[in-house]
Amino acid sequence: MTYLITKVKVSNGIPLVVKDSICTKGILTTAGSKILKGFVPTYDATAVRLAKKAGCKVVGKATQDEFGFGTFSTNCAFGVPKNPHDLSRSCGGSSGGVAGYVAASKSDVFGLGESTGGSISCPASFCGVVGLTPTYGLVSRYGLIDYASSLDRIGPITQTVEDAAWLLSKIARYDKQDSTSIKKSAEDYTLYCGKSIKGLKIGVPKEYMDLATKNVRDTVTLAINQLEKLGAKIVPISLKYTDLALPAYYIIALSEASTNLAKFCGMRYGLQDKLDGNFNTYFSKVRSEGFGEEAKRRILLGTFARMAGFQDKYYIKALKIRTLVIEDFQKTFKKVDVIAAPTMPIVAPKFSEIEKLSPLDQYKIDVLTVPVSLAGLPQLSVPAGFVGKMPVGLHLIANYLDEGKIIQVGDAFEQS
Amino acid sequence: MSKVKIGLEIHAQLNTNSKLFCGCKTKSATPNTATCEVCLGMPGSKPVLNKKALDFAVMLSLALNCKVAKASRFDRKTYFYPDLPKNYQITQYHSPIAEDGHVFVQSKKIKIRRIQLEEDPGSITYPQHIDISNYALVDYNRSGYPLCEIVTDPDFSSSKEVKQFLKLIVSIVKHLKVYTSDRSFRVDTNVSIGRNPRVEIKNVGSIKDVVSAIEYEVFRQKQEIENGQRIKQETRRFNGSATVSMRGKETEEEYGYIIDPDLPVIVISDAQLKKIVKAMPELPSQRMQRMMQQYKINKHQAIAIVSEKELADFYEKVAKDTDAQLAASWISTQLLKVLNYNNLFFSETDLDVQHFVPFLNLIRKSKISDRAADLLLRELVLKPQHPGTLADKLKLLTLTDAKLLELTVSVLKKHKKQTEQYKRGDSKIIAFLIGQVIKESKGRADAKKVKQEIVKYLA
Amino acid sequence: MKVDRQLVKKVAAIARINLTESELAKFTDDFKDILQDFSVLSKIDTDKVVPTFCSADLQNVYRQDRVDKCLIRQKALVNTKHKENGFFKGPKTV
Repeated sequence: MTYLITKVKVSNGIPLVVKDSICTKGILTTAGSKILKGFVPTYDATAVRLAKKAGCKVVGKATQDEFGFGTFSTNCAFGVPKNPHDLSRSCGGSSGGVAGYVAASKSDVFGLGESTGGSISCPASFCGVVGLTPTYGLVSRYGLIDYASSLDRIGPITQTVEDAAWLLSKIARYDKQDSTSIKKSAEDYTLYCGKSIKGLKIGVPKEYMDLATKNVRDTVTLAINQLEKLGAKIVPISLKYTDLALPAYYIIALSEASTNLAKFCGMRYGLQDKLDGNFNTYFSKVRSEGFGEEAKRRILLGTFARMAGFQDKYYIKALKIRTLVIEDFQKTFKKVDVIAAPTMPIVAPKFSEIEKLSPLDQYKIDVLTVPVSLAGLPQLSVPAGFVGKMPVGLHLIANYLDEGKIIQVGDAFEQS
Repeated sequence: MSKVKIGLEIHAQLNTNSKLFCGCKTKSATPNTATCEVCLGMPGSKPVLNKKALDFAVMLSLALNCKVAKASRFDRKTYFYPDLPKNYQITQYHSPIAEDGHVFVQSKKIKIRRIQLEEDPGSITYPQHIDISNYALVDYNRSGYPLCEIVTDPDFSSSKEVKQFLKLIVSIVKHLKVYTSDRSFRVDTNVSIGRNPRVEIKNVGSIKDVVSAIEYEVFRQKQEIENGQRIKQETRRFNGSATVSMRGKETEEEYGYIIDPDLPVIVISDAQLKKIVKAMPELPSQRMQRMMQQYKINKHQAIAIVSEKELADFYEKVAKDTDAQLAASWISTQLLKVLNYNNLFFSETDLDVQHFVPFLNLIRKSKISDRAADLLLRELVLKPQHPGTLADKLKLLTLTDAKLLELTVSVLKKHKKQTEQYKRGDSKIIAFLIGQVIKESKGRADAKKVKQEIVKYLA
Repeated sequence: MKVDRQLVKKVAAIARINLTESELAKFTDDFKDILQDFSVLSKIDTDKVVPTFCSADLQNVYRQDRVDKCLIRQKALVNTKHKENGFFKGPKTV
């Protein structure tokens, strides 16, 4: 089963599988792309270093959508992972390799995934495992190969909420090597497990429920009812900028990504060609050879959106929409402690179905995770049930640095 | 003839210990030994801003009378080149550190459009001549060095103004202790004539070369216009004697600037500004005021002296040991004249206090006439040595009293007619006699003294 | 602004990506499709809205001007086969 690009033999320690876009010292790191063929970092990402300090051992580097570009882990240069619940279906993406491995594993294993637009939540939901995406800035991005610098986050993908809480406690540290790292004292998030959620206000956004398919919506509704039975107060809410969040997200993410990927040109690492022709010829040749189709499409869109003549209409506009989306959430958190919704509008699709989707159709599958991603809010996806044999994820979203609340709710739900 | 317009973009390396966004040292000779994941742009690396570089940029902005931005940000300028590890340069485009400044160059106001912080790329060399090499060799030691870019309005109309401006900028930068070395200054120059398109001359590394490049380019453009040819908007480089079209830079790059999401906004409060102002070393303008007061010299003298930091330092050392006003007079006029004539900056000479103080003392003690001192100075600047010895060798010292008397008597005897005229009461004729003595002395006689001798002798 | 092959070709050149004929055709269709959908953003007035560049509320993040250990040259060059005498080799610039 292809979940790993690189396997590492370890004898003891807590097994940790790491998404391939997270740098691991001495271990091949490709971010799922041919253009990073052969790249062996000389350093560990901070999150990896901290996980190792806590006793974890890296057992493998997981396959993924190239640089995080995808929702189904089908844009992988080194193997497409198959959903352990149904091998004809996707693991979700882009951290599909991590989620698939964690779900398929018969023994305890921890995973480190990465999310830009929902790439921890989505595969967690599709594979029936737990995915925790911390507040932007809580876990250092140093050593994470960038997709979109203002959106990328590293987070745990695990078999239980408590496991996710444990791993987060170990990797959430201020890092002076990352200018976007938040100065916050270390916290033991496992203390939020086993607590009652009585009296907690949980908002359910109408727009999110409406965007899900009926089966998914029904399953999530049952889960939310369960939360109510556990003592939480359910509050209907509205997040009015939901429809604008998706284009705004993609424009910002792709604009940033097109600059982040400029460094890959066959010179200092990765895929290299014979040095022939002038620099433009050489760079173009290597880049065209090394990037997959989706990567090329996103680089082109991102380059376009920030061009001098189009910037105001796209890049700057999207940044303003982001402000509105954030304000929308802030207003909501004055009324509720946590937001609950389906993680994804669908269950994991078949590979044959994915092939029929246009790029835009694929982007739109992210509709429920991108608003949260734009805002950088902490989110937790927990298994909520099944449609047939396919898992459905319940998404719990809290305000900045309120990981504790979603862990509390998630754990209570999981234990019930 | 249509108006010549020149604008400058000066890139000055800042004198920090470490690079702009990482802790690599800023001094290293062996290629690629002062690099790390950050300045190599390795996947996953992230930048962190060097505070000292920011402080230097703010100080420079204040020194150039700019408005320091309350909130400033970094941008990514994306383009592809082998010396650029990330294929984008972290610079400031949307919200630079400072804008809207000015300096005066000989009472002409030169507007400073903006000041921005940015990182230097690496350096490219070739195994053989650029035209026959198949590949380039890149050293990333310089990658990530902190640069301060100063952009002026196209307010200059001559290379002379540019030279004085650049001298002033260097003086300011040296006074602020922000300057690294003579190799740390690169200038892009924009030259246009009348309504013709402007031509950019890129990457000129010294003030003298900038002056030469401008002079050549203005001449070239004027020739083209006179020949009825159109000036092409393009980028050129200076090869030491002429500006040459740059191949491979025909298409205009589309940089697609975005705010760098890796670097949070820089907010500078009024309190922080006050703190920086307090800690700033003395600026040339402040030094000028202080020197005027301390040494009782006039404004023109002071301005001339602070135009070069080393010259100002030299003056203050000299002024301690001799007549401060005399020193100011000679340094701000004759010394600068000799330097300009030889196309030298003071810092390029070996002239020191030990040469100049005795030189001034010769003048003070009337051991040498002003005219002779002028000649002596021209030699001293090029070959600094003990002035007394040199003056003696060149026969520039004023004659001793005995020698003077001897010469006066001989001249009076020679010009009996005029001597008799004086004796008969024609006082005006003494001017002729004085002139003759000075002529005979070959400048070694002081006019006042000669007059005294004549009057005494003929009394 | 016309979203057509010429535009996509121009963007590809800026991004240093060579496109085959079929890629050019496909991406042009994608561009049209996606940008048409994204034009919904223009429908909302954001004149008085300030852009958010980063969701974390951070400012003035610095490091002190201290020299840290650099990579030894061997490590800096370890991931490239294009190297010579301690230099990185790259394509020529003319």
